[in-house]
Amino acid sequence: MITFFIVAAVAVAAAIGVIAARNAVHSVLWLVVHLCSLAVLYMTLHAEFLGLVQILIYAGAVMILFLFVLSLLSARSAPNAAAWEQPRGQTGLAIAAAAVVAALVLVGAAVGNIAAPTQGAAGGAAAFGTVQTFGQALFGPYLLPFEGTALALLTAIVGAVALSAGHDDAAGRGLPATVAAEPADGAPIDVSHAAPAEPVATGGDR
Amino acid sequence: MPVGLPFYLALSAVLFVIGGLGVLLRRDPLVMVMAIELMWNAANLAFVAAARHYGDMGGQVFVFVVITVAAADVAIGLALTVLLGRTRGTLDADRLKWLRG
Repeated sequence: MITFFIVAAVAVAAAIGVIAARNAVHSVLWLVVHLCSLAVLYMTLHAEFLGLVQILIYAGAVMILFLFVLSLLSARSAPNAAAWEQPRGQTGLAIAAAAVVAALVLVGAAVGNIAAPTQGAAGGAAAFGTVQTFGQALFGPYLLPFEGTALALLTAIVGAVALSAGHDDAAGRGLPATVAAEPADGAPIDVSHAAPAEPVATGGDR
Repeated sequence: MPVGLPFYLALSAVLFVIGGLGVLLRRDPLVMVMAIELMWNAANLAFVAAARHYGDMGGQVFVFVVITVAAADVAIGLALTVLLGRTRGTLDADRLKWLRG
């Protein structure tokens, strides 16, 4: 009980820090705090594997990705970021909409008819949430969604490579540069192909 | 005494709303992607709490799927952000409006 409220307070404070920090690097660091606090909550909910995945993949790999992109972009966007981050009249509307959504879900959670815990939560509490039962569920009845995640990751890899690789040729230096570079690349290849061709021809003469 | 499901749902709702506010109020696409991450994680918390409440591993498996999809989402979103920042020279989401239908 005490643990929940302490960790929940940390999670909410870190979430507010994410969207309130003026510096995007600070947002990333607040997000790491938020994700780690959620990992603690997962552990208390008997989801040990998910807590570890949360720390390893989310707070580790994904946040590293954010920091890399920040370091790639900060040289261009940082100086004028404070100017265009000023609110432009949408603050009141956004807070009103958020308050409505929060009120709806909170009222639903408070007065909603949540079914009583099934016997699995009480009876099978010893085995629930272990890596073994998680793996049996993942590779048993939920094998098809698991394979679907593999497809999603493959799509993301191809998409990210296509987006970032197509940029340097077409957009970065401009299309004429690449058009001009094509014959320049092709010409030495023709020369190098022609050069070995002559000794072969002379060898044929012998 | 274990904390009941309504507490976790309330915390999840608060975190989801904070993430939504971040998407609505901030204009840096990077911070908007981070706010979307907050919303993903709020939904994940509700899933894990419900899985614990009902003793069903399906919730945890779905959270695993969501984490994977969120990682893919971040990869694509950040690649797009890098592309926008390089080609357009600005990351102001209000000025990147040529994608509007």
